[in-house]
Amino acid sequence: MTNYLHPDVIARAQVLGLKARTIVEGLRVGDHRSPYRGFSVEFVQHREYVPGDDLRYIDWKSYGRSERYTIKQYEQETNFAGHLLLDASRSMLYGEGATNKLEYAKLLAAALAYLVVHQRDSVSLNVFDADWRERLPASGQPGHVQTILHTLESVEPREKTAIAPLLHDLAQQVRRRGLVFLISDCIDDVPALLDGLQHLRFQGHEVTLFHILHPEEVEFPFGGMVKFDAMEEKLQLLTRPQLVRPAYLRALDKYLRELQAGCEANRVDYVLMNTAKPLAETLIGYLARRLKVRIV
Amino acid sequence: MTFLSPFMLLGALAVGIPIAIHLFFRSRYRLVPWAAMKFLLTSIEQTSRRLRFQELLLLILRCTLLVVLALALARPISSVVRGGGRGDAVDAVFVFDTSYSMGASDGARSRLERAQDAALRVIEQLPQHSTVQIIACADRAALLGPRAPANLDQARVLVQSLRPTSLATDLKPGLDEAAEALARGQSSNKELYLLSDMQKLGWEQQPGGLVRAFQDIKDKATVFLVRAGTRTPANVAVIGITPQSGVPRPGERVGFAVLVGNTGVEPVKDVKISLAVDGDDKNAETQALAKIDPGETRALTLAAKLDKSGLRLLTAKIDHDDMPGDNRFDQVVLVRDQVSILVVDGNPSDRNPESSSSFFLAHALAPVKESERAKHHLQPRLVTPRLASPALLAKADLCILVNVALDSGPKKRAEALPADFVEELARFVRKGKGLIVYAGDNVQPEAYNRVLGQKYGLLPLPIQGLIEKPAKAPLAIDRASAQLPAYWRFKEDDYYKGFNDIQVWRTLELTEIAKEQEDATKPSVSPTVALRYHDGKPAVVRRQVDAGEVLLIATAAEPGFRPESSHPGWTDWPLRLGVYVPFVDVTVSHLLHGQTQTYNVTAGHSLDWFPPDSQPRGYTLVQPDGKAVRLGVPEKRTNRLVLAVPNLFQSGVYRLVQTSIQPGSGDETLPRTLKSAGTPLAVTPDLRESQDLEALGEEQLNQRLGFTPIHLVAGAAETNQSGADRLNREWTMWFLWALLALALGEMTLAYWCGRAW
Repeated sequence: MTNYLHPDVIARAQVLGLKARTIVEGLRVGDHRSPYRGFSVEFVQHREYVPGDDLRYIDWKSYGRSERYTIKQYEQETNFAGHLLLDASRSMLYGEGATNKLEYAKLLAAALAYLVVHQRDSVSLNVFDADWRERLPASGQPGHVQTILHTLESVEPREKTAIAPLLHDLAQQVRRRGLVFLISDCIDDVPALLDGLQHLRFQGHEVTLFHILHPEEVEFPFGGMVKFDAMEEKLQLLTRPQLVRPAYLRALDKYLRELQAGCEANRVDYVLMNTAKPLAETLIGYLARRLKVRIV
Repeated sequence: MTFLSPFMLLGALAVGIPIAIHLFFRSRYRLVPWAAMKFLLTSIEQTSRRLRFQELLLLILRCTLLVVLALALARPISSVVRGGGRGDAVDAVFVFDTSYSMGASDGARSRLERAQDAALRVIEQLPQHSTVQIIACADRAALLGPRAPANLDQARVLVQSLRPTSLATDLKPGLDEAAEALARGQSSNKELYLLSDMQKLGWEQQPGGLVRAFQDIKDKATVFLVRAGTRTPANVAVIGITPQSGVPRPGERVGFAVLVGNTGVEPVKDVKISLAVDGDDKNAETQALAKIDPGETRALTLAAKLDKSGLRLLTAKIDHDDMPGDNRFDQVVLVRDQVSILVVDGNPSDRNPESSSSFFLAHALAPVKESERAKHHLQPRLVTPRLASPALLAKADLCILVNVALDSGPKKRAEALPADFVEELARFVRKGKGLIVYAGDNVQPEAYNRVLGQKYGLLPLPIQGLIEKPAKAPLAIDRASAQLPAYWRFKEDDYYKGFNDIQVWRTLELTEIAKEQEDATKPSVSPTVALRYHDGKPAVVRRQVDAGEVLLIATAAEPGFRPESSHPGWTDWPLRLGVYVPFVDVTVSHLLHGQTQTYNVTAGHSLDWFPPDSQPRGYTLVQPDGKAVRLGVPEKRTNRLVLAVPNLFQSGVYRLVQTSIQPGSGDETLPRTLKSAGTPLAVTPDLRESQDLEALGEEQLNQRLGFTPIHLVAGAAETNQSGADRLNREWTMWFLWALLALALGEMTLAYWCGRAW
């Protein structure tokens, strides 16, 4: 709790909040549209009556015109719970300044929190590495965002990643269907990770995987003699990176394709985020896809 | 492989540099904390083996590159073909074969001229500061110079002044001289050029020593064998001049057999042979030979008119062939009015002369009427052994021992030859006179072996004993066995076929000994079997004893009638006048002819001349080309004056001219006309040279030498190879090419390895 109240943390949280708000305000955000068809005021379509339908929803005007029983369908607006899952393992520390993966992930998490709360939905924050480190329950209160920001700022990576068990754990704990935003560099076992994602999907959650990668991880632009020191384990490798680069890129590509294919198979939204790109750009792209909203 | 700059090999230590760099760069790395270790690990697993292999390969290449660079800088040269590199000064030794086969024409030029041209070209191509030594070599070698080996101009002059000698080839002395000359050279780059026609004879005179000499030189110098002459010349040689009959007398036309032989490999046609007396070519008798086949020897009878008594010079010439060195043969003959022959008869009989052992011989020596004997050119004087005195020998030209006992024996039946006579007889022979020894009843093998053989060295062969054949199975002379050139007519002329009918019942058994190893530079002194019996046993043997010659006839000079029988006891040879008289005549002529051998020398032999004058006078030797060489005053040896005449290398007629010594001054006054003055000395070419003109091929030479020298052909364009070879045998250029290839390979590999996969 000390971290939360630390002036520096607060200041950084304010900066984070400012950045996140800037990103979010840059978007023209409409009401959150439920994926479920309900009976709200916003008409969607007619459909033919089938026995068993509630007689209240028969459109008698249409019957008057066509002498056929049709049912009026409306889009339902609902409140939902968004769950932010932030990977704070040591591997997320890679990168300098704005391209630091964890900072980028925090900004993304903050932006998403703003977005969700701004839509009057509730949002929870779950920070993890090999285990849950910080967990803030879902809340739709505007002040909740500040709490999230403070929590994010106080995150200090400690261990290596182990996402899959935690996803299973979350799927067990959260019964109500909601949106799950997993923000991670996904340096983990892919089948296990996909298994966890599948579990969440099975529970009815809509899952989005924000895969955070540093540009150097994507391009591997090193030269000369380099000793790579593993951030999550005690391992050092001395090599000439320029010689292994193609093999590295092939391995990365294979991994990404495997991950993307797994996400697609499980209907998980996969968003690859290169920390070299501005977050807003990537996020807008995602939201445009996700919300099917025209961005002006 | 050896190196001209071996210290540069230390540069090979630089091989440690790439290894050090490799290790250094492995220790100089950047530490990067890395998150996506999983992918890096996978990629390294996939590539590490290949990368390690590439790194190792590059390391090896770079190390090899440095080693090759060090080798190139050390200037490697072949150890098989020794020598220096390009631009290095060369100590070149040229050994010229100056035997007279090098005078053979090979196309428009002679072999020696081609060799000279080749040598001049090589000298022209020698790098700066090179030295040259010129050695002339026939059967002996002479270092000609130049005195300052670096004086190449003088070397060229020496090369151009070379002329063929009349000697045979023996390359060993030349190689020995060359080895010494090479050892004196200071440069590490040495080259030996042997310029020869590669005649087999030169390689076979001392084969073992020659190969050893070559092997020794090969380790120090590059050996070039420069072949002068590529084909065997057509050659007809004058082998000798033999008087046909009797003793040359003044005013007579005497027939001489001029022996000519084709020593080439192809027939020679239309050969003209002339015989001139005292150089009078205008009145020379000439005879043409339509064709003479290879290996064939022919005797042509040419007459010469000998006007005056004394030493006359006969010159036989062949008009043309490819090899002029043996086309002329000079011979000095002694023309005398009468010849005094001392016949010592060991079995004289005044009462019954016919039973004397010398009866038939005396008649054979003077086969004329009693009234004409005094005018006959052969004047035999018969003495008994008892009366034989050394004083008689002083007047004799020839001595014949007929059935003479050397030891009177226990019963003193026969008169023995006095010891002082025998002693004088030995001196008589060694001075150059002839001796004929006939067998007989008084000839005791043991005494002859002991006295004539062991004590005085006059006996041609040891007498083993006496062979007696049954009356019905006598021995017969085999005329085909005639070896002595004087006897050739007996085997060639059918007139003398009666020789085969001669019957011999008693004969001395002579022990033939294996031919001794002769010194090639000296005349043959080993016994020769001049005639044999049909069973191969010696019948007539001869031996050169110093300047003289001894002839031993194994059977008696008389028939040796058996008691109470008219049947001969020894042989019927004296009874066969048709073959006996010619035999005696030819034998006497041969021995008398041999007495002039003091004046007839084979080229290359030295001569001890015994001046007839007891007063010391100076002598000058006038060479065939007219140059005069002062020989000085004869020295005294064993109470005799002896003038040492140095080795005579050119065939032709030399003259020993007596010059008077001015009292007190020591200056000699030469006669005005030297050409015809003085005592003639006929020097004939060493005929061993032209006996076999076969040249050895490259393969044969390589086999003999046991290594492969560089073969060049004089006159061919490839002679320039010596210079090119000098460039080629340094391997620096090859190593630099290898270095370039390695560098390119390294760059390509480095680029290829630098590319990521």
